[in-house]
This record gives sequence, structure tokens and C-alpha cells, in this order.
Amino acid sequence: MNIRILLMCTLIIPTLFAPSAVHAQEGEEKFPTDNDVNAIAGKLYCPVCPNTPLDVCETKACQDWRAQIKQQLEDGWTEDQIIDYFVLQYGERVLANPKREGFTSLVWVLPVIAVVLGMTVIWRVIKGWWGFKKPSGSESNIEPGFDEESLARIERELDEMR
Amino acid sequence: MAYVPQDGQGLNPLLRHFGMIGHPPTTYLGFTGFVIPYAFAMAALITGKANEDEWIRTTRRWTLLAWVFLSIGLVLGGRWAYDVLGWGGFWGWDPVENAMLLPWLTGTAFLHSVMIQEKRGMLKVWNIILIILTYSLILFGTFITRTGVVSSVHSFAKSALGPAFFAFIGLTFISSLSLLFSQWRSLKAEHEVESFFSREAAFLLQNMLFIAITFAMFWGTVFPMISELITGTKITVGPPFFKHVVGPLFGVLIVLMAIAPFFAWRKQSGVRLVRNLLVPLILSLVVSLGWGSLYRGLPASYLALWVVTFAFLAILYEFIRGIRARVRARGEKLPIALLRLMGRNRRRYGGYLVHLAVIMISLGFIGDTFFKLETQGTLAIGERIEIGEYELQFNGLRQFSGSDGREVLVASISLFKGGQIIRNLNPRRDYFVAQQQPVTIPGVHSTLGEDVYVLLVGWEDIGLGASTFKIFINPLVNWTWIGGLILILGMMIATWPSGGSAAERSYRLRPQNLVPSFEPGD
Repeated sequence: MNIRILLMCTLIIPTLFAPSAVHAQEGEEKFPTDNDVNAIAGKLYCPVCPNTPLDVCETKACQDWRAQIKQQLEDGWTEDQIIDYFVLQYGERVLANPKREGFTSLVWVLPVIAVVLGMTVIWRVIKGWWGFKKPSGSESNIEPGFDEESLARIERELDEMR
Repeated sequence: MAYVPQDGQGLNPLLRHFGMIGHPPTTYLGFTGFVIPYAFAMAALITGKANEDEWIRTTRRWTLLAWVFLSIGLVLGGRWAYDVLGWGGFWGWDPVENAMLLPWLTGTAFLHSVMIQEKRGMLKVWNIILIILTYSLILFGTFITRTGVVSSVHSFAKSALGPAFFAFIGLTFISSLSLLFSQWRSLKAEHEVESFFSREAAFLLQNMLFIAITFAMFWGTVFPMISELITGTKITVGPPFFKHVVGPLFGVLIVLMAIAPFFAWRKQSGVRLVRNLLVPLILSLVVSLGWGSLYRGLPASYLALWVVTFAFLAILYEFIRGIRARVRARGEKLPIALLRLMGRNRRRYGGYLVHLAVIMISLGFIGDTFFKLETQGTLAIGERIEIGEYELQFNGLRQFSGSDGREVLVASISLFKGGQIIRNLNPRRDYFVAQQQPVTIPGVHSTLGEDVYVLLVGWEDIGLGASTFKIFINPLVNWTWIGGLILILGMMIATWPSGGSAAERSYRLRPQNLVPSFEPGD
């Protein structure tokens, strides 16, 4: 009995919400919208213009390429398929985000290595200075034992007395 | 000449903008201005006087002047791109833009690093390396822009100078380094870093971060060339690379910018540091949480907002401490105390103003990276489109010919917020017939919080009916321009001559004459 009621509920309840679902779909723009096209075009660069993203490029050629993306979306292509198509047709230079594989991965890896190396060098330099060379006794004569705040205060007060 | 035209076509229409009146000369002054510290550094090496600080003291104001002009050039260039290029942003991480930022980065590192040499007699070799790098990167920037070896949207002037120019850069770089190596032994540091918690260590870390950012940007900029050279494959290194790699490094740099002034020279007490920074830290956590929830952004956006809020509050706290001390000691009123505080410590408080300006400029980048909204739609007359809290209604399109030979299309858009009309916007497309050059001019509604930025990107040729618009909400973008102005003000205060003798102006502590010579670092 309980199972029957449960089954009936699962069949009836969705039909109660169906009209509103249809209404919502009618209110929305038809797929693919300009925004759907631009979302993909923004990940691509114009294959022939100087360093211009495809979503903002104003040339006729770029308008045609955006129209092509729209057509491909209408035909059911996925984002990855469209991007792969453009790479196949025009080469890797159309990708705004360089691949993280092969030789191109160097563009991502080297800055990380540089930062790690830089940190290591700084660490070693400071540690070397700090750990092995204590400040000489005469240095304490060069700068009296005031902290900077006190020195700043003294300077301010003396300035005001001038 | 076989043919002499009666008249030229005039300036490229894309360059007819107020930013382009200031951008080229300021950039030029910035680039050429750095020749002065470079030339003095080389002269000091040649004459064997690089161990002394004279070349740094003599060129300090010139360096600051070059730096501020380069900064103005960058901001004006960003404003021009925002108004003219029609992609809704001010920084596209284009090779030419990057090439201009590279010497600014090393120049900024140099500006800070020389303070350690002035104050503590350290980093003498490093400072010369930094000025060599800055000058070489200036040459590199000119090389990239003038030769077009890397594909750029800003390639307005190409020439066949390439190989000769490249040889000149190489020759300059190698001969400068050779001079440095010849004097290496004489450039010994007079002191050592005594603690990780010292201003010297903070400056070293800051220098490392600037160099890391410079390297990452340089690498990203030249990699397409290297890839083509080695593998034969042309690639593009676009904004995602720079935002992912450079963004976090800038974040750490801004945190360091906030806390470094609280570090004492030689050694800083950890307890005092925490005590000084506790208030800005707690306040910044609360404020950034509240601020971030307004935008409902990604977790990283909260972190970015915290970074700038913390840095802002830390600097504000420094001002408050100084003003409070004057009010208590002298009974001065607040505005007078502020003016005298800045007047008597121009270098320090001018520097703080520049730091505030950098925070403001960072806000523009944070808004662009995390909170930007974008939509595009085709509207018939009377139709509306929504974006964020706004609605835009298309009222019609007008076409006319300009007196200077341009064909103009202007759209009329009503901007609504909360059902109320705010103002009318007129995005337009000007087509310069003689040059065959279109220019897209946005319709913009600007507030301190955000810009509503509307571009006319398409229209029906017959009947001028339905038209296509690209609309951006650009949060916090105007803080970039305000930051540019504050930066100029701060630098003017920092560099304004204070009178007195050279010994009084000196930055180095002299115990026997402590009073007039001390000038706290910034």
C-alpha cells in the first residue's frame, strides 16, 4: 500500500511543477546565446589578428568564427570539441591558456622553479649572514640602542623645538 | 619621390584620445630618466667609486622622477585601452604592456633596495644589478614595441631595426655586467643581516618577489618567440597565465608592503610587531569578510580583498600613530598635525601615500579578475537586457557623418537600477573612412563602486532596428585612476626638496649628530 502511494506521488508531483518549468524555459533565450558563444570565444585568440581575444575581436573574420562557434553549439558540439577543432585548424596559437604538456609546460614550470630558487637563495644568504657572522662589537658603537620608534619620537620632538 | 601626397591621413584614429597626449611623453621620460642612475652606476664602476654611495644619493631624485613618469605612462596607457580598444578592460597582459611594466618592476625594486645601501651599506652589487636590469629591460621594451617580434595589439610602429637593436641590447648588458665583475671585490657589504625579522630581510624578500614577478612576466612574454624558435609551434600566452602566476606573487608583495614599515632595522621584536599589527589584522579580517560577501565571489576573492584591506589599514594605522603623537605632544588640531607630520617626514609619508596608491590600483585588478560581469544581447527598439542590478533599454540608433570624415552610429540606451532610470548612455561606433579604421567608443556610467560599460558591437544596416550590445560591469575600476593621481601626489611629497645641508638630508644614521641626520625609512 505504502509503495503504491509512493509511486503515485512520484508520478503526480512532477506534473504539478511541469507548467512552471515550461514557462521558465519559454522565458529564457534560445540556446546558444551570444554569452554561450563568447564563453568559448573568450578562451580562444583570433588566429590572424595581432594578439586579440576572439570574443572581443571586431574583424569580419572573427565575426565569422564566432558564427561558426554558434553553429557548432547548435549542432551539439561540446566546448572541448570546438576548442580542439580550432587548434587543429589554426594551431596552438589560438589557445589563450597555453597547454600544460610537452615543451609548452615550461612556460608554467619555470616561474615556479624561479620562485623556489629565489626563496632558497634568500634563505641561505640571510642564514649565512646571520648564522656564521655575528655583528662586530664596534657596530654597537655606530648605532645606539634606540629602537626606531624612539628615534622617530626624538627626531620629531627636536624638530618641533627648532 | 615618385609620388608626393597632398596631405597625410592624420593620426591613427585609435590614438586620438586624451591619454595619448600624455602616455608617449611620460613613458619616454620614464624610460630615458632611468638612463641617469644607470649612467652614474656605470661611471662609478669605471672610476672605481661604486663602493661609495655617492652615485645613489646624486641620482635618487632622478630615479624617483623616472619612476613616477613611467607609472603615469602606465596608468594613462591603461586608461586609453579602457576607453578605446573596446574590450571592457584596462590591462590585457599584451606583450607591449608587459614590456613596459617590466622595467617598472625592477625600477621599483631598485628604489627600495638603494635604501638598504644608503642606510646600512649593504646590497651594493645587487643595486648595480638592478639598475643594469632596469636599463636593459627598457631597451627590451623598446625592442618589442618597435620591431614587432612578438605579436601585439599595440604594434603601432614597426621598423627594420631588429637585429641591430638586439645586438645593442646584448652589448649593453654584457659590457655592464663585465664592468660589475671587474669591481666585484670592492663592493663588499659593510654590515650583515642580523635577523629574519628585520627591515633588511623584509627588503630582500620584497626584492626577490619583484624579480620573481619580472621573470614570470618576461618569460610569459618571450615564450611564444622561444617556442616558435625551438619547436616551430606558435603559441599565445594570454591573461590566464599571468593572472595565475603573477597574481599571487603580487598579493604577497602587497602584504609585505603593509608590514615592512613596521620592521626595525637590524632586528625587530616579534611581540612589538604583533602588537602593532593586531588592530589592522583583526579589522581587515572583519571588513574583508563583509566586503567580499557584497560581491559573493570566489574564496580567492576574499583573500585578495583581505590583502588590500590589511595593507590599507596598516598604512592608515601608521598615519594615526604619527598624528596622535603630535596631537598629544603639541596639542595640534588633526589637520595641522597631519600636514606637519607629512611635512617633516616627507620621504616616509610620501612613500606611504604611494603605497596607498598601489593598493587603489590593485583594487582595479581585483575587480577585473574576480567580480567582473559580462553579457551580450541583441535588442529590438524598446527591449531590455539585465546585468547585475541594472537593466538597459535600447531606444534607437542614429547615423550621421562627422565633419572629419567619419561615419558615426550612436545608440541611445536608458540605464535603470531598481526600476528607476539613472541616465542615458550613448555607445557609438565611429568609422574613419580614409583610414578604414573603426573605433568603438563605450557608453559608460561611472561610480566609485563600479562602471556600467556598454559597447555597440552590431546593428541592422537596413532600418537601424535591432542592435547588439556587449555590456560589462567593471567593479572598482575607477580606483585605478584615482590611485594614479594619489601616486603622483605621494611622489611629489617624497621628492620635494626639504632644504638644509646635504648632511641633514642624508639618510644614514650618525650617532654623533643624530638629531638632524635621522630620517626614518619608508
